[in-house]
Amino acid sequence: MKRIKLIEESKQWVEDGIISQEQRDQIINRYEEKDQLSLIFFFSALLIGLACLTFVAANWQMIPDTFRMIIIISFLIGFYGIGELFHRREHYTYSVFCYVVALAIFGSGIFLTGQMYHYSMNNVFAFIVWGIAAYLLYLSRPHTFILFTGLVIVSVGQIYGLINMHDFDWLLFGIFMVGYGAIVFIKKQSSIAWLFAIAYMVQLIGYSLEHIDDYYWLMIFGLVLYVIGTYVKDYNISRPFQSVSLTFMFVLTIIQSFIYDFAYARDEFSSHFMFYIILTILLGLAIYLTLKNEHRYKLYQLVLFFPVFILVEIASFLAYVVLFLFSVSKILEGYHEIDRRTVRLGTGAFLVSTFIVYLQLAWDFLDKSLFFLVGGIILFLIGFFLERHRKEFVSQKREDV
Amino acid sequence: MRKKLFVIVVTLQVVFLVGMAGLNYFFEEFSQIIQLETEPYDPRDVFYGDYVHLNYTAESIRPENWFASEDVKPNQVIYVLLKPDERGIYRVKAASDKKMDPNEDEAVIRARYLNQEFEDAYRVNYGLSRYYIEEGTGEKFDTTNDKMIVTIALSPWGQKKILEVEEMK
Repeated sequence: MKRIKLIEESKQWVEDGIISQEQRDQIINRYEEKDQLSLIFFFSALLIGLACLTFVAANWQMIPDTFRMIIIISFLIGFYGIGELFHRREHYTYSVFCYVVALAIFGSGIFLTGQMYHYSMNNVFAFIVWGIAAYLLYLSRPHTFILFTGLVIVSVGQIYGLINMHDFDWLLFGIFMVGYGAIVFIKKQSSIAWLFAIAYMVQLIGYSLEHIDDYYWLMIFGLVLYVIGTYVKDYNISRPFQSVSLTFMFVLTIIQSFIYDFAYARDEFSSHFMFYIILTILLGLAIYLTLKNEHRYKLYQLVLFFPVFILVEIASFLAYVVLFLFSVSKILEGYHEIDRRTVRLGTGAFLVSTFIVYLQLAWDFLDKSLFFLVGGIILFLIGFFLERHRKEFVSQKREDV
Repeated sequence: MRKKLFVIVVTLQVVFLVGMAGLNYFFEEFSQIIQLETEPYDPRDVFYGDYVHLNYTAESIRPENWFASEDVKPNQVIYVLLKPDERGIYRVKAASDKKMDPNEDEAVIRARYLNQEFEDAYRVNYGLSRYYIEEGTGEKFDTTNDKMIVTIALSPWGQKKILEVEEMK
């Protein structure tokens, strides 16, 4: 509950005699006021960082090269120095802000120097150096925001390389996996794990788009994330890893349901046998770990990793089946765990799946206005049915309590 | 410990930037200097804001000089062996996906494979297609359909650098 809402509501609780004024104060003190300033500093750091980068894009005229170098290096040292000063006075928000600006100056400095002296920058070398600098800075000043900055630098570097050089840099990816990955497992902090999992998927999506004919390997990358999430028992890591992997697979299955609707896509598709071997091994591992963790009801969600293109002629249909099985499994899991959030997620997935199937199957046959009318009615009925069940479930839960 | 690391991190960043700038002054001394010719250009196409786009003749390789394996993939590293002609401009002698040993007057430049053109020529990219110029200094590239001569330094550690771009006389 938000602090402001708590203050309002608890006043009534005291008046009703549910809690005493002391208890109210104690409860409110537990919800510390959020540091609004940190958000402002976050955005100002971002803006100044961007300004530095824009500065690079626009050539500065009339300044000799040596003098430009002096400007860059003085700003770099200056911001680190001010950051250090704040750090000593324990104003950590300000210090992190200065460190991130200094880091942005360093990054833009690399590009600017390269441009000034006409170095050939035909690889992501600058991003590798920049990413390592951010990582080492984090080790010396372990603030999560610095780590976030580093993760963004590495991911952007990878995407930059893919767009400009059509090359996936394995060294950069290695730094990301080993360096930044280690922090995820050492810190066991949920926010870091979320960002790491998302950055992992984004980079590998980029890689697969570059090799679009072999896009299906994405399933393996997603499954690896899922297996690691299942192996690690820490909830702060397992939840982000599994959620990112499943969300990604859900979207991929939807995309596949559209793609394999085209005869062209079905005719062109071919897959490597190694894919199926690796997929089977990883799925076996996922099943084993899930059973070992005694999460039997979570087995069903693995259906998302079913390769729908195995029978390419009916791949679209298989994709629909997978989407529905997954949605129903999520709803069942929610009921089993008595977890309202999971039920809501399952319901959402169910509605999306229904909409996709309806969109695919009915669009060609129905008059367009009728299409939306019937669609609306179907969704309403499903929503009504699910909501009734949800209410029953919630009241059941209350009775249990 | 952390404080020490912080000082080291900042120092390394400064050293890196100074090193990059400093290296520039030693680069030529250690490097092999070659001259490449560009394709004729149209001044309307050649400017991209603050840089000149360079399209080297030696980036198109005739099949008789191509010794790379059949299944060479886009973006794969290709080594191009260059030999100077009578005017001192380097021309392609051979290209392969394997390393080659140049003779004294020859040079090997690292490139990335792009594609095969319809005339069967193989296209590669040296990663030297951008030459950054200061705004307002582009007048010297202002004539239509001229070739340019680009002077390039190839360092022993693989880094390359454009030293000069001038119009062919």
